[in-house]
Amino acid sequence: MRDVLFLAWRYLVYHRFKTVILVVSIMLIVYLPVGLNAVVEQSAEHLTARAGATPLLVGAKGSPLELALNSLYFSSEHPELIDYSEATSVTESGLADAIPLYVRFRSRDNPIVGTSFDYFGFRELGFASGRPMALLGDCVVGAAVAESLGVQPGDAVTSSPETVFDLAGVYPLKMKVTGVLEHAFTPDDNAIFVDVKTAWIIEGLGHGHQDLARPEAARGVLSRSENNIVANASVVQHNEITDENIDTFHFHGELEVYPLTSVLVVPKDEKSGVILRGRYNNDAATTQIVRPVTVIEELLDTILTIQQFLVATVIIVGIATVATASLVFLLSLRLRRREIDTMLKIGGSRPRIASMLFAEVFIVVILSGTLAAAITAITWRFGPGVIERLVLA
Amino acid sequence: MIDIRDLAFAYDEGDFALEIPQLKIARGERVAIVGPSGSGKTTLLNLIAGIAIPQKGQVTTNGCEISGLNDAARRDFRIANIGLVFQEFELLEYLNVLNNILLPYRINGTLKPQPGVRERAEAIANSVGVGGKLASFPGHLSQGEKQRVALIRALVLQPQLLLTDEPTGNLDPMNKDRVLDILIEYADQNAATLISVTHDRDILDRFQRVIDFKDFYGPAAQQRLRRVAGTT
Repeated sequence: MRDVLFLAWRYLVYHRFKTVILVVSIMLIVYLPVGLNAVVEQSAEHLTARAGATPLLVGAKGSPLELALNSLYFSSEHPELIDYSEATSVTESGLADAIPLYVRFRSRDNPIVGTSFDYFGFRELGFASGRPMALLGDCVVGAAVAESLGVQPGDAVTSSPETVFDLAGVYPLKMKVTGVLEHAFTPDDNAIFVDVKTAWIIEGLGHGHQDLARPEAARGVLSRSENNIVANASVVQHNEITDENIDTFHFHGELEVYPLTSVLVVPKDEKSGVILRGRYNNDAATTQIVRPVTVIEELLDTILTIQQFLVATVIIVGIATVATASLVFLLSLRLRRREIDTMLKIGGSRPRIASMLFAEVFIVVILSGTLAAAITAITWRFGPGVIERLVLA
Repeated sequence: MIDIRDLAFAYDEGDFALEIPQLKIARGERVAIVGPSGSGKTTLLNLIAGIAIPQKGQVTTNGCEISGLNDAARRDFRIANIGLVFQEFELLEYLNVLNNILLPYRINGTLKPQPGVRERAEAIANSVGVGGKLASFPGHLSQGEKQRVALIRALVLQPQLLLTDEPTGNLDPMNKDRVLDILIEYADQNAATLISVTHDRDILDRFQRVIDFKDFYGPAAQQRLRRVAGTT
């Protein structure tokens, strides 16, 4: 058997270009349906698992998919904004707990998630080190963020401005890292969590500045009345919240009308969830309530339809490729007739020569299968991440 | 050594027929077979080697009636007793020289390489001037070198009967002499029988007997073939 394999291997090595073409062709027809299936299944599992763990979402009327992707996976496209009062309203209904989400800003490529402390409990996120955010300007980073930025409790991360052309001034806010989350292998690993009020400060809805009552700020004061002081741009604005300046931070207007991207709703029970959904079933309402799992399943249905179409196409191409490869093999037998005759004449046995030819096919199939398995394993490892990024892009 | 009696052979297609009432070739004899193309010279070699089976008659080689054996037994007999050399060398392009020489051991299944086979192959290669080419592939050899490698492949089995089909057909005069020297030297040293089919009349004086198929081609020639073959 060793001799047969040796001869088959020497033939394949000598005709390496033909062998490579055959191996790659067979590898592709094996890998494409299997790999595609694996990656779609795994992605579907990932997407559905997170959606399934999120009972309801309240957001502005519009695309339910955009709302779900932003709230679950912190996609960069955010839906229309809703008022904070929506969260209050859900809580006051007594039917559910409300967790506010304001996912709009980023620090480099990492989403900054404005939320409340309840979010960590809801997602069952543990702390690898440090503690939750307690003060304005505190933040908790996901495990992947901590690794990529090399930060730990006591370090700082800075928000990125939405646009570099915004000269009116939503200044980057330097935030103190108070905790690092354990790996959850979800989008939470890549997020930076802050209190929703800190997110509003990033937006500029709340700010801290030099005390205008103090003499050193007098030069910046343009006019002063009983209820109002007008100052110019020379007044020092704080872009980091410290123990010294935290008292200068304040919000103007009613917090109830401050923006959120969505509210994560956790009904007390199934009945409460149904009642809540009924309350939002109103054409005149400016908000909607969605079940993320339904939204994601609709998305997956579309992906699965495309996948089925692709797999069917690949199978047809695969049959054609196998037929072509068989034809090539049979034609090569005709071309090798003389070689086979020589082997027979000098003492080769027919079964042994047949074994050698079969071994060539066997080696090609094994190589193709191994290669396909290796690429499928790589796809299994990295594919879902790529698919999720494509979906969320 | 070789005894052919009442042999009749025809291919499935075409009107070619070969009939040899009797032909004997003694052990250690050097015989050249000449004649026009298509007269059955190569067919006769194939019959002696057991590659082709006569429809009628007997072919006895080395005391064994090869035409009466089954396929596997003929193959084993051939590899144990007969060395074959072809005009077109028939080396496998994807094996290097050494592996081409040892090919019979790899494809036979029952023939196990005995200790020293590789050394014997290298020794023969050195003696015929291709010792430095053992790792080369046939595509990088000259015609003369290819024929010498084909010879070594036949000789490494230490056959008692060498059947060569136009062994010098593709060679220049210098290589032609060299190949003949190797064949004859081997035959003499091992008391082996050498039967060569050839078109080259310049080399006939290197053989002890010449069988000319010229007059024995076709039905009318059978009587003369019978007479010539029967004289041996």
